[in-house]
Amino acid sequence: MKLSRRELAAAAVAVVVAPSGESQTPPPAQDLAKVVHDANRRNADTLAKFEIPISTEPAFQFKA
Amino acid sequence: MTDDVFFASVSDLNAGLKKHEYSCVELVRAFSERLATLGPRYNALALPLTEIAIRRAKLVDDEIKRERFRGPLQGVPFGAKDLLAVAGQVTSWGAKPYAAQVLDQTATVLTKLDKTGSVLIGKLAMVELAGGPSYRMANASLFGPGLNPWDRTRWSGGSSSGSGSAVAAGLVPFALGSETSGSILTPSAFCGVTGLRPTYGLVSRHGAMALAWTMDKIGPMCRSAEDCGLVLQAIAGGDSEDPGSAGKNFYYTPQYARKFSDLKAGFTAVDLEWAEPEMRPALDAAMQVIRGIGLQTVETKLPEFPYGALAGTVVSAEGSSIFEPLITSGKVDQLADARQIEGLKAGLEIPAKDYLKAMRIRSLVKKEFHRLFADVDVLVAPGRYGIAPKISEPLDGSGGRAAQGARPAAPGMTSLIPAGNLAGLPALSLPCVRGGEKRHHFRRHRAEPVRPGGRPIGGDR
Repeated sequence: MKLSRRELAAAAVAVVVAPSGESQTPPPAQDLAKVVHDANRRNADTLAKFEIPISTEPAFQFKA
Repeated sequence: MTDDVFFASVSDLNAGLKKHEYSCVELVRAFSERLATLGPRYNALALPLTEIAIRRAKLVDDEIKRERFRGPLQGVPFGAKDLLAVAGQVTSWGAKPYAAQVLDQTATVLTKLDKTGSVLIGKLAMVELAGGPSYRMANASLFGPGLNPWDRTRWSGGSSSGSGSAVAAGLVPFALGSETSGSILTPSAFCGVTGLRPTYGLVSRHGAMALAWTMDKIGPMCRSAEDCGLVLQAIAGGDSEDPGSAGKNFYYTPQYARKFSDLKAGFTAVDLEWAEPEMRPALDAAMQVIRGIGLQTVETKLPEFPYGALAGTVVSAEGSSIFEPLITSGKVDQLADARQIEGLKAGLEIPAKDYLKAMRIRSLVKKEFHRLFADVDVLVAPGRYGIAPKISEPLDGSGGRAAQGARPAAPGMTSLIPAGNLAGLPALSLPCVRGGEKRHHFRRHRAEPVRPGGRPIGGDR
């Protein structure tokens, strides 16, 4: 399924500094673990939906 | 020697040394004292290296006296982000678990700079582990929150926080920072200095803490683009110790630069709508300057990919793998930022299929950017979309999205930082100054208060 432009726009926020969807007050530690796992799962879901040609190889090369 | 030296360019300092206006020892002492005195004011200093630096400076003075000239960096003091190792000295990576770490090697970039005759006077503070998968608060550092020299209630940006502050405040003529996804560009933007993120593989990562093997770059943070060019020329080049090395050199040759009128700059008009309202006049003025120097500007758009999810997955998976011993030992809990701690732990659970999918999509990202650059020569965008956040506030949403009102329909270049890093592309962060663009704009910034981000509060320039 191709992602819509709005979905891409929502997924395009840089996550290194600014993870999405959090409140101003820091959540408790156990909630933070859930926040992070949920963020990783959302990333995984987003990438799973992104269709690519079967021939696409990862962007690294092993050299013997 | 007047206080002007603290805001002088690399070339000017080198010229002053050759004319014997001051010696390298005098310069190193002056900057070292300033770094030691003012560095803590901005939480910028990780480790002073004054004694070693003065010994080195004496050797440099001997060479200059014998007219053995090495180049434009000879005799110029500098600072290095504390993820770059100096043999026998503490290299803390900005993190409590490594606060006493002493490594037995010196980073290749520091060895290269030493050969040019430039003098390392101190290690500069950073966000712990260069930010890891992500962090929430500005105080995510062994050294406390990086404070912006223009307004110490605001963040300097990170993860090269000390490098940004130190250059902006005239504590070092130039600094080395690093970027995985934003860590040179962000402090450069917030502190109003010029930061260069090189092409991936151009500068050796040997001796630098790794956060993400396939995305880490080391680059200069300086007072001008010219200074960045001179420093990059010195630190670039192949290194067999770095598996990611491209084996290429870089030569700073402005005399052969193409005319601005021959270059096309891609931009997106919607970027102004994403910026915080008070940033918009400055950004608009910057575009006028760009057009005024002759660059052709062309409306364009980034290739459509889920950049945030890609960068998040790659950095998290690679970073957690790198720091697996830290995580499994439990020492990860000593880190300052709770989100960083949980992020590193969670990164170990990212399945291989997710990482590999991200790396496969990344191949397509590279291909599409190649296509894009067949039509334009550069992309122009705001480095950040808002003014540096207050250090007391969570960093979520920093970068100035249009928080009030509806989000613009198109993303513009808002994901250019992760996109450019995923594609391994270089980037230059230039200070955004309203009004007349002057080479030595920092001289004015000393005399007049300037809002973080480089925009003056009042009066025309």
